Amino acid sequence: MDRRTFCLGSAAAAVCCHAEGVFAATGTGATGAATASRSPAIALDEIVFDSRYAECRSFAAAARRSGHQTIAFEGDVTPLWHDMLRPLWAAGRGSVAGMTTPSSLFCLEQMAKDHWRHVVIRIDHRRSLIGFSHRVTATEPMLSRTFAALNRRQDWPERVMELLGSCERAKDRPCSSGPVSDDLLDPSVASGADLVSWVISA
Amino acid sequence: MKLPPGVKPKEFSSALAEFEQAVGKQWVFTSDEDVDLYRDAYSPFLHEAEERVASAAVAPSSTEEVQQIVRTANRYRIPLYAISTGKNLGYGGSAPAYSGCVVVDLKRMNRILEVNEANAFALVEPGVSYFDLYHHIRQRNLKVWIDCPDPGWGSVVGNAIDRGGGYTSANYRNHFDSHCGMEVVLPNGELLRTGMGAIPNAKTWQQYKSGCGPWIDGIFSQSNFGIVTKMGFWLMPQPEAYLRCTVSLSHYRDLGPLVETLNYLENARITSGFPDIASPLNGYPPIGQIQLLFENGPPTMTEEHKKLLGEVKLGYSGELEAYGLKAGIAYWELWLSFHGPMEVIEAQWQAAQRHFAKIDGARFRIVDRLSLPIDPAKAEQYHEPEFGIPSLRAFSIGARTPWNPTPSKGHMWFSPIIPRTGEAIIEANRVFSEAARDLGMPLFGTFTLPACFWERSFIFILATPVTEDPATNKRYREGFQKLIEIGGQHGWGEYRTAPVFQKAVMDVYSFNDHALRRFHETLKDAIDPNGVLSPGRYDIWPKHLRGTQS
Repeated sequence: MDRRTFCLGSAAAAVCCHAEGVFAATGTGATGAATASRSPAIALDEIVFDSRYAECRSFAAAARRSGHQTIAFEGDVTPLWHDMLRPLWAAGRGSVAGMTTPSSLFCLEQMAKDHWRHVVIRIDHRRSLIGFSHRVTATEPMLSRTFAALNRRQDWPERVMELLGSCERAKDRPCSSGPVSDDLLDPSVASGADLVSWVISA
Repeated sequence: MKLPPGVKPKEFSSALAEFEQAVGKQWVFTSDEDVDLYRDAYSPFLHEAEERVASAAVAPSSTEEVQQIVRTANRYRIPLYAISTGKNLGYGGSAPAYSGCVVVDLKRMNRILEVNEANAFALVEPGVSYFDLYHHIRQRNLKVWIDCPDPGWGSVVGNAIDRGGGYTSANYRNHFDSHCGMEVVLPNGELLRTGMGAIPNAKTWQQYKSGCGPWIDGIFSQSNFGIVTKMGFWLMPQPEAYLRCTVSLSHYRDLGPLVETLNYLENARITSGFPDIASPLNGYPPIGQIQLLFENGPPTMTEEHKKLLGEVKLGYSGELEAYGLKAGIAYWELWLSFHGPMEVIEAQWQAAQRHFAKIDGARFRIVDRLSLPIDPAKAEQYHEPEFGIPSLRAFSIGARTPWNPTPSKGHMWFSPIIPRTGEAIIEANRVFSEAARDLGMPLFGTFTLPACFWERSFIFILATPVTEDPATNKRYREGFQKLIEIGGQHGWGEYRTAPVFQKAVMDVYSFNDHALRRFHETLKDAIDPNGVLSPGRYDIWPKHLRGTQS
């Protein structure tokens, strides 16, 4: 098993092309400089989602429209990790995107570490009575792309899937974090579970 | 690339090259991104320069590779820090006690060497997780149970040598106590087997613990005297049936008799499953129900009940007790579980009721009566670890929900051992709640009940939050240290702690001018003269670093 194995299949090219369309549609896209140095998009092997939440179901529906297979789970990541992700990671494969609760991601991140895999982008979606605010942690160009794609968008779960489907791996760039939209929400008021979108890759 | 303290770049490069030769280039990690994987996810130094971090990591796949790594480390004086899977979050995770160590990551040593059904034991390497061992047993339909902690992602060996515990029967809950035989790479690279394993071609390595002569296994737990590369464990024969019952008591004064009766029943093995003490009247659930409470929300409570809770002292007021009697809410509720043949455990429950019936007004209830093995599809209705089933569901406890609006980033476990008496529970509540209030630490609700993992003592476990704010974390760290000191003044000491608090904890174990620490140091100097192995673990420092670390 080689931890550095990294699969780039035909699906990656398809996702990449799709992503270009997204950013053209948002009217921002990546800068010329970023485009020039663009890395190939990560080929996602699995898309997982917590089917208890409507936003996650929308995310998964967008994934299926893009030609991905999706895996649903409900809260407890134990069977998802043990039956699906662990064998993939142990085989040196398995770039995975998901929309889950933060605690599910925390578990999966710790388990992914066992295979020297990292969370390469995370977008926190904090829920309140009036909606969601988003915060992204990533390297460029994903940082800029997320700002552009999600700011004040009602259809953010679908947009998130499009973003993650075009996620680039930039190991040599610094990772930073910032709010995508003005944080209007009172953190002491939770109307339900927060969510987070992410990609785990080698 | 980070460097270990006092090691020149050229020497470090040479050592890394030798590590690569020993284990293969792809199993030596030096990039910041890879080394960051070994940071403590719950570090109380989050976002601070003092966070203890590794310089590199190396992941051997065999005992021989571990020996080569240790020999290389001695040649170049490279400090190592061995982890098995590094999942003991709240107690330090995979981060070293001494910044700049090279982490020796043993998770690739994940072979289950034997599971013996006939005599109920296993021999495993340190990379074997509870999930691995559980599924190995299930796939082969072996009639034995593991005992696992919550969550079950950690290493069987690692949790045992960190002296962790689980949730099944008293004979197996203490994971170090249930081990039988070790293989250890000593700090000079030599290989040692303990107990009967010291006999070449031993026939009873996992069947008789102590061998002959001094029994040294204990010095390889919570220490830095060797790297354990194999370890045997006694497993629990799969029970035929399971019975879970509660004993409910109505008065505050009943806590002492409850504990005393429980102690007798457990020490006499009339009950042996994980006992769990709750206080419905104080809104304090049993440990086994906490994750369900976080998943589904707390039980509803009347306004009158909430108001009365706001006025209690040490979990008591006469008005609250009267309310409980009127509303039929128990002051104390003891959850008992029994494993064994149905006719035996029914008889044990009968005997338990007879003893508890001596307490006025004791009420009894059977919660579950199950034939085993449990259908795995139904296991999620229960606290799985009580059936020896590993799970990750414990993390629902940390989610942000309407009933937990500001979850912490992580936690540091404050875990003093206190006597197994009702008086000690109340005294620990008094001492630590007053201290926590003075220190501004959010550790207490109305009343805290201890965990019953161990026989003959309680762990008075409190989760100290780790936040995103360095100033708050600093205050909590200082408060944590103060709590350790206060505990020591009352004769209570931690059973386990994260590296950042290991000095403070070991300071408490100070009988006869720190004779225990001096003995540890004498051993360290003799066994590891170059001080390469896990310097500072449990405050055992090699001579050249002694007194230089805070």
